[in-house]
Amino acid sequence: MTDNEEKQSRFMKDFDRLEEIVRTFEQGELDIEEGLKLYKESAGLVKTLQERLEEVENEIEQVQKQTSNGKDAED
Amino acid sequence: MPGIDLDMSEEHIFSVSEFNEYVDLLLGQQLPEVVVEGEISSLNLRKNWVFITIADEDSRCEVFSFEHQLTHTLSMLEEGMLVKVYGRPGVHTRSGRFRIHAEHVLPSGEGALRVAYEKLQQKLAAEGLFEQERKRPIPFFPETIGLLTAPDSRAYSDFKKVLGERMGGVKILFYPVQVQGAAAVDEIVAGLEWFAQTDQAVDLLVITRGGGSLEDLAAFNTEAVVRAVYGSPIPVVAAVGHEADNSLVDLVADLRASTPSNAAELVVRHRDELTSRVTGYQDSIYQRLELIVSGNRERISRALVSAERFFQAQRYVVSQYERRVEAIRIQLNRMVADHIMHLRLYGRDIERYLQTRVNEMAAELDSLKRLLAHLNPQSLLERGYSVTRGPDGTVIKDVLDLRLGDRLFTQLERGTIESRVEKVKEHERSDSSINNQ
Repeated sequence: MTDNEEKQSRFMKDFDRLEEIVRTFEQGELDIEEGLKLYKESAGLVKTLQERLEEVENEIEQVQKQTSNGKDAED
Repeated sequence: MPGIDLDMSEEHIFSVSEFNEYVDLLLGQQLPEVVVEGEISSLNLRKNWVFITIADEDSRCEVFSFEHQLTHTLSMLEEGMLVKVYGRPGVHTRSGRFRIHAEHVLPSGEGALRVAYEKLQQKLAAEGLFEQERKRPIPFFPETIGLLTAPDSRAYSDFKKVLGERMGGVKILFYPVQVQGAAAVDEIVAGLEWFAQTDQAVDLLVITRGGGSLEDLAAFNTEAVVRAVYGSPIPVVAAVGHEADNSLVDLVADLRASTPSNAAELVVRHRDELTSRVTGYQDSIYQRLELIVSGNRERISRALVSAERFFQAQRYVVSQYERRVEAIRIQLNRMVADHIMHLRLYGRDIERYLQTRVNEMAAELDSLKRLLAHLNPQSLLERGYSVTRGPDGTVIKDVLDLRLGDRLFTQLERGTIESRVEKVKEHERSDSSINNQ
């Protein structure tokens, strides 16, 4: 589950960061140094995001109901 | 307590209690669960007990239950409503009355369900459960989706299929439930509670089933399920029935989808959409960077041009200075050359002049020395002069400075004379003062 949390926050973090960089470019009077630095960062983000989007299979896990307690299939 | 397999060949005499208990047990064994439909002719609550009488045109039947067992539906029930009673028939041993011990009492038939639906909708709307303001946003990119629906149902396969067409890498945590029938309400509520307490990170819940009659969808119009959805800590997307069906779960959910497929469309973005957004961002960033670079290029070339101009101007100034320095240098050289020439030409004369001057000065110095020698007192003494001093050592120049009897010291060239004043004689004036002494 922590894997999943990290995975999720990573995609959204990367996506949000990419949007932030776009906004910085749109608003800011960036100098060439900053521009190149952000461009490099965005290229890394795009790569990670695209890799995630290229995943094909969805995983299905059925919850094993246990009426006595709330334990689930992973316990 | 009589056994069920009572031997009836012999005459058996029951006590009243035994008889009632026996019949109760027998009924329970023969008819463990029945569903009886009838119209509610009376509905009474006493303490925690619920007493209902249901009837059709010819007969009536008593129904007993506990209030906590009917919480899901009790508020919807009213007299005159057609209901289905799910329960176990039995005999109340103390009174000997025959009745159904109900586990569920559900409105039955479109009319009753419509009435029940409207009654509950009004009640929950008054409480603010359907308010738009309380609806939570659906996560933009869910990685784990909780799914509540019937296993092997069309809703399940449609949702899964459409989700897979749109996005990969998503985890579906599937909690199978019955979506209709008496057990549906409890199972759906249990499912929602399971998701509420699981320590798995679930981004959103999808609760769905395919279309059906109002009766088929009845579980999704019960207070228990609606409140469980309302109480879910995880945002809920509901797709119950078809577009036209508006279950109360649809109304209370954070987002309503028209069908199970539509639910999948709403909860995950299509990978193509996200990919094009990401590449669009990348393009936009690249274009902006290019603008910065070309802007810089232009600035740099402009700067180069103006720098060129500046240097040209500077070069002119420098060359002017250089010319002047050169002129001065030439002038200086000329002057130095002249001086050297002069020195060469007049060198001897200067030397001669200086020698003469030195000689003159030496002669002058000599005469000065001689003059100085003449002025020395010792040389005066040498020539016969002497110096007389008084007792205090001062040189006596005037007789008026002396008294009779004063001791005098007279310095000669060689030796000193000590004497005493006996008489004083002025040279140019009468010396009365001395005489008087």
